[in-house]
Amino acid sequence: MHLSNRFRKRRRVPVRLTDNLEENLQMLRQAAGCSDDLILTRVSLCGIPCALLTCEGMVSSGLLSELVFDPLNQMQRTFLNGAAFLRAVHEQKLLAADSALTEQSSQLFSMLYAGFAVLLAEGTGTALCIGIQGYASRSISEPSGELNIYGARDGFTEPVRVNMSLIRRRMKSPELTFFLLSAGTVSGTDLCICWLRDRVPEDLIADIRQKLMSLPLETVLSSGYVRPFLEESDMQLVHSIGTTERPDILCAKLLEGRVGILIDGTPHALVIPQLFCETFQTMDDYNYPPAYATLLRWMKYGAALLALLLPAGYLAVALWHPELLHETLLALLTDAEQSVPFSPAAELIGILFMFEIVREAGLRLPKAVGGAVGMIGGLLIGDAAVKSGLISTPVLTVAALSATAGFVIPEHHAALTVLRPVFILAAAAAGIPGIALAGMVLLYHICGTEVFGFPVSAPLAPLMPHRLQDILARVGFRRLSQGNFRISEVREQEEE
Amino acid sequence: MNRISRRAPAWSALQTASLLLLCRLTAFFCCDAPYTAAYAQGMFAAALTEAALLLPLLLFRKSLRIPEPLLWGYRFFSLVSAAYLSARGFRLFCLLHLEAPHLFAGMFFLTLLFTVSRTQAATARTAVLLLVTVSAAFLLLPVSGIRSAHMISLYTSGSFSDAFFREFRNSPETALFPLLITRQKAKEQYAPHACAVWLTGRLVILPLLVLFGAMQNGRLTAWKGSPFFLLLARTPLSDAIRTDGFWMLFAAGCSVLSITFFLQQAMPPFRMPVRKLFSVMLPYPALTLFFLRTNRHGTGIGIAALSLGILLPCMLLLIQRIKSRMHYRMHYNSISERNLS
Amino acid sequence: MNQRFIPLLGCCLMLTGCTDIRSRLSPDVLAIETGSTVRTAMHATQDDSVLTAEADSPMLFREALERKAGASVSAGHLSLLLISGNPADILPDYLYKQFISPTCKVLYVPENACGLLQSGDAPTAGQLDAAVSTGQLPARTADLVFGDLCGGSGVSVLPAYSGGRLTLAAFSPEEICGFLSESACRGLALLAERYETFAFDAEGAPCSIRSRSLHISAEKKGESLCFAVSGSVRAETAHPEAAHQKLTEMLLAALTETARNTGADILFLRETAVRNKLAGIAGCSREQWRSMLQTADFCVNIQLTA
Repeated sequence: MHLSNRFRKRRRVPVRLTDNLEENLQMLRQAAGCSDDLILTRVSLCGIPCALLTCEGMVSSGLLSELVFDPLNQMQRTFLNGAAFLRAVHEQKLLAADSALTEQSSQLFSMLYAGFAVLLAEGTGTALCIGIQGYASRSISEPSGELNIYGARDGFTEPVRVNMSLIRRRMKSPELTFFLLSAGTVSGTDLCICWLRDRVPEDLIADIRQKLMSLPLETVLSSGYVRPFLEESDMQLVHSIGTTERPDILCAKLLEGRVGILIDGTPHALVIPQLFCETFQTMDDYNYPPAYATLLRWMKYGAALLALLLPAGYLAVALWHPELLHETLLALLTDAEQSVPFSPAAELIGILFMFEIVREAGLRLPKAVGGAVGMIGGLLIGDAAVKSGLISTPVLTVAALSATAGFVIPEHHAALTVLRPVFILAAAAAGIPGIALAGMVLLYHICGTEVFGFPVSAPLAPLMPHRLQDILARVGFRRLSQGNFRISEVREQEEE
Repeated sequence: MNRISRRAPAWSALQTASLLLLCRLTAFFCCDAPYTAAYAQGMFAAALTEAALLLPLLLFRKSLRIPEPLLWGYRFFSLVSAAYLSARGFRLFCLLHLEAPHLFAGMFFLTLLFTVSRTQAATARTAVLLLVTVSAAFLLLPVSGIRSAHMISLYTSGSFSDAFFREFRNSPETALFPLLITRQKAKEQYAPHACAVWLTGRLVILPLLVLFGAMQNGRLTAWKGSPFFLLLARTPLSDAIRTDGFWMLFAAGCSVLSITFFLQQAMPPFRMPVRKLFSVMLPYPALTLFFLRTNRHGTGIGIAALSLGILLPCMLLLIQRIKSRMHYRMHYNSISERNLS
Repeated sequence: MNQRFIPLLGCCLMLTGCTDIRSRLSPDVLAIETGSTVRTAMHATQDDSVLTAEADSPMLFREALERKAGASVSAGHLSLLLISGNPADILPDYLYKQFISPTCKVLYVPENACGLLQSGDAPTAGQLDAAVSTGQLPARTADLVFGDLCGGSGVSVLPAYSGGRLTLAAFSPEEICGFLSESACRGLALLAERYETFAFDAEGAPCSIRSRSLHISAEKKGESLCFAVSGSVRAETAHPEAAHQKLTEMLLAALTETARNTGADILFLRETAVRNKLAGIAGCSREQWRSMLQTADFCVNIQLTA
């Protein structure tokens, strides 16, 4: 589907229902384009001609007969007109927890396609919508993208309401608030903002709500559709809005005064804001002993630096600063490079490009084939390329180490893939000072990134020394719980 | 842009002090002053004098108003300081015998174009990060070099007065203090805190570093280039002076940051269009530089002309936009005046 | 937005690959002979052969060697520099231009340094290190030697290879002042504290120093200066008196042969005088200090504990 078509604005003009049932049905059928998934059941209830509209596959047939057909069939009273009948059904019969009256066709369609049954009656311009949703969806399962050893095994699933329940189950506080809204002029996708009222400033919620309500999209198919409209720039390498598939992580973030956004149809929730340092933290860190968790955290920082700087560092040292190498190592590198026809820079970029191709091929193919592709690709690059003399062993080692280190922080994989060649080029052009300059650009980029006034570089910049206990180390829970972190502190710190 | 982020973030005391200290560190990395005990004393005395000069400024900061002509003066001074630090920085990297200094200069220029186009808040945050990292790295020096340090070297003759006056020359950022301490008049503690952090760095860290350098470098006080790199070469961390890659990272980083700081201070009030112009310009100087460097002058000049050709409509467009915005504002003001009347 | 970065990327791509690791030689030993013609020789880490070339000036050694080798020469791994000629003519420029590391070892060879390197008889950096660690010579790297030329008395001392043995030679910017005796070399090594083992023969019995605490003090006696080495030495020896005498001889030789005979101040005597608050030392010129050293008195007063 072409993006320009998908993002084109098209708004449905709302039409009021009339008192004539036939006219209403005619109008609704025409508006729906005589779509075959619209099921119309005509029936006479208490002597009044009525029609029940449902959408194929969106309602539960059991609930339909149990909550709608049975109670309505048992009604014996007589009514003056359809309006009185619908009012009586709505006010005196407890058919479903979620029911509403509407007079607008647009609202009627929204509810109909959201899984409501719509009851129309002769002599009234009002329709009764009864919530008996029952569409098939994936059951709650362990998230594949954020695996944990000790944490909970349930992850978000596609229906937004199920996801809301997963959060509510963990936070029974009345301060937890959900706000549902619809986005996408065609799709009318349900979005849900969730936050703790006592921890999030009102202006932040108002800003997020306003941005979501004015999304210039026809449909919202995943979190990636919404995120760019909330972030401040399209060129961000470091995301200021995080995603998570885990309700426990989202709950932890909400407790810190952040805002979550659930999107119907995707198991990825958005977290506003996400700080850069937090991308190195996992739920397991808080289950391990502090010493081990601290070690793991530093290992991750090291892995990130290794993934980014190792190829560039190797190149800088080999091309511009061989003095840094021990004589034996230098001789080893020189010997290895003698038989290779390409320059080390070309070799490194080539091998990293090949690695990305193999990775992408393994990722998109079915699991069974994907593994085989990865293995064949690995063999090809690792063995055949070296034996044929196209690539030297040190370069291959460096590229493999860098790529493997990159997997430690999956959150930054995209950024690392883009930045690695940039750093390689900088190192090839000017050696270590070149890396320093590229590093400064990256540092500026990270420090300059903010969302809704929150700088992502916090708590390092602005420096919040008392918050470094969960960044430079992972102290024990006794100390962590002494001063609970609130994300609003970041904004306050910046202004101090 | 949302309501919250539209508010320009004010610098914190730590950020202000970090920026000032990093500017001094850049000069420290780049200057060729000898490391002697007398020099450390001179530095200390100069920092004390500067602090004494700042005292009245601190006391009267609330009633301090900087007139517009003086602001332009500060802008010009910032520009000159940026040029001074650029020249020092480039000289340092030439002395380090980079194999292609022109290439480095081109990249340095590109980096500056990028950093200058960022916000002042980004500069301030980066300064804190960089200062924390540099300070942590400084801790490595005594650890690694304590065995090769000699107390007797502290008695090597040196000039106190030279250090005293050199210190004033190498800390142009101090002159911007009036601008910086009036940034947050509402916050009572902002200016004293910023001054306290700045003074700690100037009075304690830098003189101590020079003292350590004096103990390491011994009589080698007549050294062309940065004695800091000599100090590093003598500590067992590395063996060769031009291979102190670890510190080269900081020297380049500090240079970029301090020059950016001065340039941002020098920027006239209409920042957005200038920033846009900078980002549009980015690739062309690099290409021109490359072709000129490889003696393909015709191509270089051609690309320069091309970039001018592309930039000219951009500039016209910008001027047009500024004009239309001004016109809109005037129109809007006249309407609101009419409504009010 | 993205389009404007494409030329930038292209530009960077074109700029890469400016140097290549494959066509670079890294000498670990370099020899320079100055005189009417400048000869240079190097031993590269990559192979065992010695490459020689003639250059127009000592500063052009690299170009000459590159022309001969057909590869670029990077002096970053240089660990030993052999000099025939006055080191004061070569060292400052080599350090300033950063051809050599400040911690590179320098060895003075009275003549034919290149030939010595070619013949394979030249001492290695390892041999120099061994001489330092066994207390035969004090550690003298390029920056220390150069520091003495800048400060102190302007006369310095560096390791030399003469008559098939390692010793020390004193030199000033004007001339080579002479070689030091073995006893003076050992005395300097003892005062320099860089040795790991220090053993000598005391009347046929070996004496091994276990620890020492020596310090130099300065005082003014009338118009002349007097420097005294005092402190204690713990040693393992069968003849303490003989060992004491030998040690005193070594230390006295170190002081007199450097300071009095050649005017060299490599023991930070000037700084010692300043520390002891002797008037008129800090402000005097190098030449004045040299003449003051040459008229100074020296004494050694150490205690040896067996």
